Amino acid sequence: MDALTSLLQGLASALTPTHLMFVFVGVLLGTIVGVLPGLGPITAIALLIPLSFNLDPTAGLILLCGVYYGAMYGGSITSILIRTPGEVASAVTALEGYEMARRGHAGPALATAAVGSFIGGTLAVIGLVFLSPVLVDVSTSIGAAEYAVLLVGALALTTSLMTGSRVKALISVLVGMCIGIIGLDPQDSVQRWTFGQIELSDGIDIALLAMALFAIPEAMRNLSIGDRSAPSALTVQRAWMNKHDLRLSAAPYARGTVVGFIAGVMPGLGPTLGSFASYSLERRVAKGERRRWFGKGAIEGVAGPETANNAGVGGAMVPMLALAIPGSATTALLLFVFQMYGLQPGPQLFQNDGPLVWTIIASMLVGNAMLLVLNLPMVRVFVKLLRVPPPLLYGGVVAFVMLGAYALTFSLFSMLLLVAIGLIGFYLQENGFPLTPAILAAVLLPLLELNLRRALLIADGDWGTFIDRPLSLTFLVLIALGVVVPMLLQLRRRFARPD
Amino acid sequence: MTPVSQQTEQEAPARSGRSDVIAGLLVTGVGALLLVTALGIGEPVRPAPGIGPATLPLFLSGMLVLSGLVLTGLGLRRRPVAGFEADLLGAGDAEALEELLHEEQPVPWRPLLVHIGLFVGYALIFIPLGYMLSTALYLGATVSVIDRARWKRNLTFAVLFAVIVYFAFTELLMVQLPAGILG
Repeated sequence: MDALTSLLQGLASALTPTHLMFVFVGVLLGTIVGVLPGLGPITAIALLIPLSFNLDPTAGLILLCGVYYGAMYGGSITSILIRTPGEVASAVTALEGYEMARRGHAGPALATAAVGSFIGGTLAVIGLVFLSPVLVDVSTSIGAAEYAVLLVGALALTTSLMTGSRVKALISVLVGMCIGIIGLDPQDSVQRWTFGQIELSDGIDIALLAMALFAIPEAMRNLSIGDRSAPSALTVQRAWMNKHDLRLSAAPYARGTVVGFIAGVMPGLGPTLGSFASYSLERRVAKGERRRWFGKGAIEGVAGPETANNAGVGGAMVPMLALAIPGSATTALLLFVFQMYGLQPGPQLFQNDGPLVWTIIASMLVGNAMLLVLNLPMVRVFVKLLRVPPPLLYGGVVAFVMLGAYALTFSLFSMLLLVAIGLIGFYLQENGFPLTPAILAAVLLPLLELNLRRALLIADGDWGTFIDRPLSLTFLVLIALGVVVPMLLQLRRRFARPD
Repeated sequence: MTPVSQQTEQEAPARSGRSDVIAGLLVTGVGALLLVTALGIGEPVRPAPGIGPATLPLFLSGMLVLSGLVLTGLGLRRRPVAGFEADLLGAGDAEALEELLHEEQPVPWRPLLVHIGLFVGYALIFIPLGYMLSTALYLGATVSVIDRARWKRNLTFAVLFAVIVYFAFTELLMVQLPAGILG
């Protein structure tokens, strides 16, 4: 009952005109960013960070969270209409969604994506409401050692359950962690990897890192390839579906919510994994005639994943708010924003800043409702965005990002850093290295080191403490399973196929 | 779609093999550099039990060296590495997804160098010339390199973008931007 009361109070606050405006701007920006290829929620949030310095924390966080789940709605539009995901978590939608669009069923595809996103997003927030207090209670028995292990777990899971090469994901995590180390050691004030540059004493700003890694590589790639006009999108009359489509989508909505929420809650993974898992599940449960539709436009293959990726956003917020352990790379960036406002997620957050947190959570409910309204009738407006000529789009992205970099320190140094890291990121991306683990790692490193130090201080330098403490050992075992099991699955697959 | 995925299967191992070797060696090199630098990290005034300022840097750079070597090794053996999505989705879908996510189209290096040059140049003129002028120049140049024919559109876009963003940020959002030589 306590959670419910807090939520209602939060809702009252979220429905004030000012906050409503921020929700609206956030979800609108999020949808636009999700629709435009080459821009994702991480870049958008990173760019908005310098701007949100001057905003009051509630407003700023409402805005940024709105961008996050808004992007999940927008990303599906490009997936369905031009087979290019607006952002990674919507990639699976393209598998069936585009096939549906090709056969003239773009309307139902878009409709089921929007409705599914709404259901997943809303139910996930409800899940967030009831699960967070539980986790906060649990967190009191989590000491520094367990916390450190959980953070390592987040990174390990990201590595083992990433798309593409695991070794490259690991390298990405390591690079991110090394970047996180740059600067003065927080405890001992010793210079680490600053190579004599004073400006690096405070380390590399996470917002800068996000801008450099997520906007620049895409921009450089697309500018160099030099397409003059946007790929043509399949036309759509309106986003609508009939009873038959709705009936087929119902069970996928339910399954997608559960799968997506769980995937989101698990530290380090997030909406992307949820959408993949949902697609796989829908394929497996499809019976008889429906099974043959997969690959040719099965609506279940859109309904499930789209529900899952939005449920994943809510899920990813759970460990972030309750334990300060990000459920995804974007939530890692949001964690950074909380810290920037002087707020520390975790049990103290709910105690000290209760009204703020509940307002943000309530605003997510409001936002999801707004997005349903925006996406169903107004789909064609967003589709027009797809016609922006790529040179203008990507040129504009670079200009914005340069502005963002400047606004962080008002000096040439950040801009040059942007260029350097951007080009490194470009090289990495072109060679198949995933970049999201790097951001996650960079945000988590300071927390990890802090907790390692604390744990060892308490244990008087004994590294065995991580195994001696029962909870810590349990987490370690679970993490080890999370890493080893996928590898075993892969080996089994390799031996099963005649290669 | 079948011809493309056949192509993908034939080309991917060879290309990714060589680039993986190079990438792996680079990673190993950078790791080694970081490792050596980490050895020079000073001792703290009050040493903490079990862990010091150099502990994580040494561990991480060591791991980088190791992973770089592993990647080089994998690249030499030319085995394309698939991720978790292949287990989850089954080979056919995973390939389709790979196609979607990691476009196979190679980036032409001459335009790339031009755009990198423009990017670096933009950063260097940003403060001296001021936001509006440097941005208009950058955008005008960048878009013209790709699509010279539509120069009227390009010019309009470059100027409008620079001016609108400048005033939006300095007047509405209260973010100071350099006025440079126009100020």
